[in-house]
Amino acid sequence: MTPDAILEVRELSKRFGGVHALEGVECIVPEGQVFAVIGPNGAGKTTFFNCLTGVTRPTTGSIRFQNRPLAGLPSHRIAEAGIARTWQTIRLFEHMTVLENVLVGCHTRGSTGFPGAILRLPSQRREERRLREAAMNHLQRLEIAHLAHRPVSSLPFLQQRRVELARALAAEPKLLLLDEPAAGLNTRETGQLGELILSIREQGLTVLLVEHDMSLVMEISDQVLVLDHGVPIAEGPPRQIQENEKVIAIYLGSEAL
Amino acid sequence: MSDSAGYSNLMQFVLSGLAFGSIYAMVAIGFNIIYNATGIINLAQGEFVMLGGMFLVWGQDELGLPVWAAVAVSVLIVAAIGVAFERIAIRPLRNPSVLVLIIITIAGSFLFRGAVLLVWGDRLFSCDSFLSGDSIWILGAIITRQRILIFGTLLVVGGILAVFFGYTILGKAMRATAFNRTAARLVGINTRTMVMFAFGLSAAIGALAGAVVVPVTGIAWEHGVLLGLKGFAAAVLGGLGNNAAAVVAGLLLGVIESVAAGTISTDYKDAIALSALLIVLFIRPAGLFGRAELTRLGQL
Amino acid sequence: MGLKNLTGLVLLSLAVIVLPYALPDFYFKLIQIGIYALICIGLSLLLGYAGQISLGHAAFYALGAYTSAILTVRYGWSPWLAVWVGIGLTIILALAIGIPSLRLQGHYLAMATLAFGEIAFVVATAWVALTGGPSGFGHIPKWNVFGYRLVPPRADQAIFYFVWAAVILGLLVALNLINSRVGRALRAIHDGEQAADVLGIPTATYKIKIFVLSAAYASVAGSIYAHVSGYVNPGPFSVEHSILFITMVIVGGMRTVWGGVAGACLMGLLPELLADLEHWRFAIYGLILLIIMMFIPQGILLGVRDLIAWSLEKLPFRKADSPGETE
Repeated sequence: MTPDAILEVRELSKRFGGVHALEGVECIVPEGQVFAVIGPNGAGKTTFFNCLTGVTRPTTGSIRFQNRPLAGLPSHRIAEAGIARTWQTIRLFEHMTVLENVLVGCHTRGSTGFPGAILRLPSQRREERRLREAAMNHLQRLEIAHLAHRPVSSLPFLQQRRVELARALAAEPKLLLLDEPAAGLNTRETGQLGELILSIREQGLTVLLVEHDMSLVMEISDQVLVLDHGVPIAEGPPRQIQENEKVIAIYLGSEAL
Repeated sequence: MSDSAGYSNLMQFVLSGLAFGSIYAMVAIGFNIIYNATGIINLAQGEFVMLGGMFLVWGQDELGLPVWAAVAVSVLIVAAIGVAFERIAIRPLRNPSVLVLIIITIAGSFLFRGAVLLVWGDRLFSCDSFLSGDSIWILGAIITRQRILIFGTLLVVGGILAVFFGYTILGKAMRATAFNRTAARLVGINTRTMVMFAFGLSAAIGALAGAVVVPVTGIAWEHGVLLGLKGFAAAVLGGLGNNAAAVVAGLLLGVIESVAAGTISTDYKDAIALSALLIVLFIRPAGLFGRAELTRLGQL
Repeated sequence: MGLKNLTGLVLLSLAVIVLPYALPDFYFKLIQIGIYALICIGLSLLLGYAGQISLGHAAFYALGAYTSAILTVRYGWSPWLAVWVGIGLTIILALAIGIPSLRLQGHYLAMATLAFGEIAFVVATAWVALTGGPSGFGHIPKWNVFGYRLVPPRADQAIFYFVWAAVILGLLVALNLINSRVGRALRAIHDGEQAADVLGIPTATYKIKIFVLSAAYASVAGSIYAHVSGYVNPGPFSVEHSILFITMVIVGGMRTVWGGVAGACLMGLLPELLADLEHWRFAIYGLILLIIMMFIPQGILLGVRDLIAWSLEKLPFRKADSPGETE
């Protein structure tokens, strides 16, 4: 494994019945980079994320995160190892407030179990204060602290997006997976999102990004992987991808680049 | 001598077990049909069986119908109840969770049970055997004609369903809906109608099972729970959704229960059958004949 | 746990203290209801918070009752000790049922617990040597609380206090649990199991633990029941009662433990309101369950709150947006 790689994927395949959702995907994600995965609809990008987070079990292949094998582990173990994600369609806990959602994101930062909670031990109360403070910090960073006590179901779509991002950041992951974070944003909002992602990277987090907005991908990514029908067809820095003829043919050709 | 007595006893248990097993198999098929169409386990399934028995007795005693007509009337009424239940209580729910569906079908089962209790009281009802004539000796055991009829009913129901799902447009459409609802809708199948039809068909088969069992065990308002549970046991034993396996599993369950009752204890008969359910659920949740992967569960 | 819940507990405590003096002809009807409330608090943790269902809680209720009855009558144990043995046995049994069925999804826990409840009822009826069979057995000693034996003529009042003290303690435990990392994780599981898992919550473990805890509530309620009534038989432990408990929780509102208490009171008093209910019981339970589930899925308690909030909104003196608080 390359010394500075945080994630290394080898020969990753996923089949649903006879359908090959992913076939022989390989990538090395260097620590502290923004790494984008692009491809037309049905290219297997979300399946790729699902394999990385234990939502689906890969059919074959290996996934190493910080030199530890991940493939086949349950999701919560992968989360403990330091991977957090957002979802293409928002999956907030709809009966909870904004703050509570972000506090669930802090789950791996705490340790209180059933006995500690029932007895309300002093250690539990200290931990609760600490987590609340951390959660509020994340809300402030995303400029939604004023919504902390609102039920998430009452928020408009864009703010729900932010809550979900805050929830993922609250887990203080080393690797953050963003599944189409710019979907539904206008140009100005996309610009802000790009700045936010770069500032997340500044903090030392590695970001894995699935995105359709090519200008965003080309602007902030250090490295781009292109999938088509589950098969990797190109990998390289944004400029190189933009000039890759295979990529242009299957994907970028249709975009006005 | 004692050996042959032991054999004929065992044969007796097996044959009477087959009759009850046929009932469980039909209840299991009822579970499967609704499960395949909707992913719902209908906890009111046992109540359809009980209602089938009740309406049979009602048709004979109140309307003075001959037995075959009473069976037909009972099956039609209960099928209508099944359809109405789907229309009133299930269809209006928007994106119901599994929890909500469980509670709704439980509510339905209490409602049906309660209504029967109100209308007919807590008496045990019974009726004469559908076929007159003496019991028959088979393989050293004696068996009543009604029990043979029950077994025959299962065979007929199974045969009709095999033809229905294999060769008719409606049956194929239902199978398509079960296999992939979105795809079925895309090719023009009205999946809502399929769901409604599934409830009607499932209720009808349950009612038929309930009707044919009345001469053997009688029927009372509270019989639905156990019939439903054992039918579910058969469905799980065979692997949820698989009708052919459910028939085998239902018969097997009936025989196990009957042999256990005859050799271990009648008091614990029900507990033994239900323990079989728990054991299978825990060891092979995909059923005795199913694959290890619970593919359909992902859709719940 | 928040000011609201603390106020609620204080108000409930005051009501409990005052009730025997305020309504001397009525309060003793709330003894059995208190026992139901205890079961319902546990059940609402399972149903409303973790989103799992048990149709066999009457079996855990029975286990507590019979364990206490048998140990105190046959072996002369102290009720204080017997209740713990009941809890211990319940934990073992709940693990045996919960671990395999909670690995599966949705309907399986419902059917497994339903079958388990039916088996438990059959065993309680058929194992005459242990349980006394259908007629049960009596002469169960009354609970001895701090040397104050709960006997007539003041027995009813003492029993009432004792039962409702247990309810308040049960509420306290549940509220502490809910307003913690663990409680949030449970609610997250209810709203989205996969999303919760991906955030590092071991969903299977949490579901098993909450199932065991809610079974323990039923077991304690069973122990209390045995000593309060002085007599046990299989009657109150049928599957029908498991479903009655579910109905209580849903009527009160499953997403708050207060709903469990409210539901137990409402449904428990229903027979008082409708005389000669015996034959109507099932139909009414079914109807109530259906109507609540279809039209007021949040339950009566939160339903009333929402109604008040709605009418306040409609009225001219609309309040400023205040930060809401959930329990």
